Amino acid sequence: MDKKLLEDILKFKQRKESFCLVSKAQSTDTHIVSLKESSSSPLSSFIKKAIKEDKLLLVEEGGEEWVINPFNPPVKLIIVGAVHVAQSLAIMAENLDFEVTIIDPREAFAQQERFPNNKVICSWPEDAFNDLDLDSRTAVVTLTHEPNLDDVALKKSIKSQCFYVGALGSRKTHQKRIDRFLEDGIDEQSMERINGPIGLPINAQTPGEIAISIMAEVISALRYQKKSIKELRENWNNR
Amino acid sequence: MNTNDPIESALAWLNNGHKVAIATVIKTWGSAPRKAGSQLAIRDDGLMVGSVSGGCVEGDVVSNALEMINSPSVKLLQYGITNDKAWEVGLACGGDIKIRIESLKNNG
Repeated sequence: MDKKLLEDILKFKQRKESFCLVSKAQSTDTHIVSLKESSSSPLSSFIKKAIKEDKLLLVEEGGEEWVINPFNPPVKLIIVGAVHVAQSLAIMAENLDFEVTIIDPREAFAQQERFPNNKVICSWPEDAFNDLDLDSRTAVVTLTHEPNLDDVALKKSIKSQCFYVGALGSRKTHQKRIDRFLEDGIDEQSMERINGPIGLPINAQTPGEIAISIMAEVISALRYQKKSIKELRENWNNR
Repeated sequence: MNTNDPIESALAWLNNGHKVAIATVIKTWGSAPRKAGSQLAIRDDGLMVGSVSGGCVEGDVVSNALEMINSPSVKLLQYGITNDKAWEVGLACGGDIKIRIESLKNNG
């Protein structure tokens, strides 16, 4: 490992490319293999597995012990509604290395000054969502309380690969949302993907507390990938 | 610069003429405090960024790193409650961890 290698690691991180640091366990030989170039490596299958599972692998190959340490781009959090809760949530998520994007067509809310370190998109969710890649490392949270803003975002999200979908609003509001969606022909199973009322039940009161409850639920969905969100919710509610 | 990131810190230190080592958790058994892949960057004056445990073994990792920081090399360390040094630097959680330290070359 040398200075050049560290510079290359930062370049890959900046370009948001998945890669592995591949080291001989017992000697100073460490190099970068990107996911794109991994096919030509004799350790190809291990490199792909480490990146996919986001988990370091220690393997033996060719009489040598190898450390394969994956680096994936940050997990993404898309927030619809540049409201007060969103300001707390964005700060918290950023601290946890999430890449945060805020969407709101209302100019009074979608101001860069309110979110100094995040990407703010001032447009309707139906437009903004066309340019987003809702992959399996993306969480979507809607916070506006306005069906004409939240609904489109939620409908697109539950059809995508994203690992978490949550909607702010009371039980009553959520029930109305469910009724609306069912009327629009969305099946119940898809509806179950929406966490509503959003967040873990810690009786949060202030915007900051609500942000903590949302963030905790996003993390539980990210880290308990083998369980369904519904199962997690039930476990928590039965505690 | 993200002062919480071991790689960014390591690069900044090298650029300032320091010697640097990076420790990585390469294996865990049982309830280890940080998952495999977690890193700790160590500067030649003992300053560290990142973590390889919940604070239980960092002290010992840093002293091992300082012993080898002057020339590029690799050292493997293992900690756990089965370790003889358990009372000194073991893991309170009952897990076991294996750590690889590599000291870096400063090639300007």
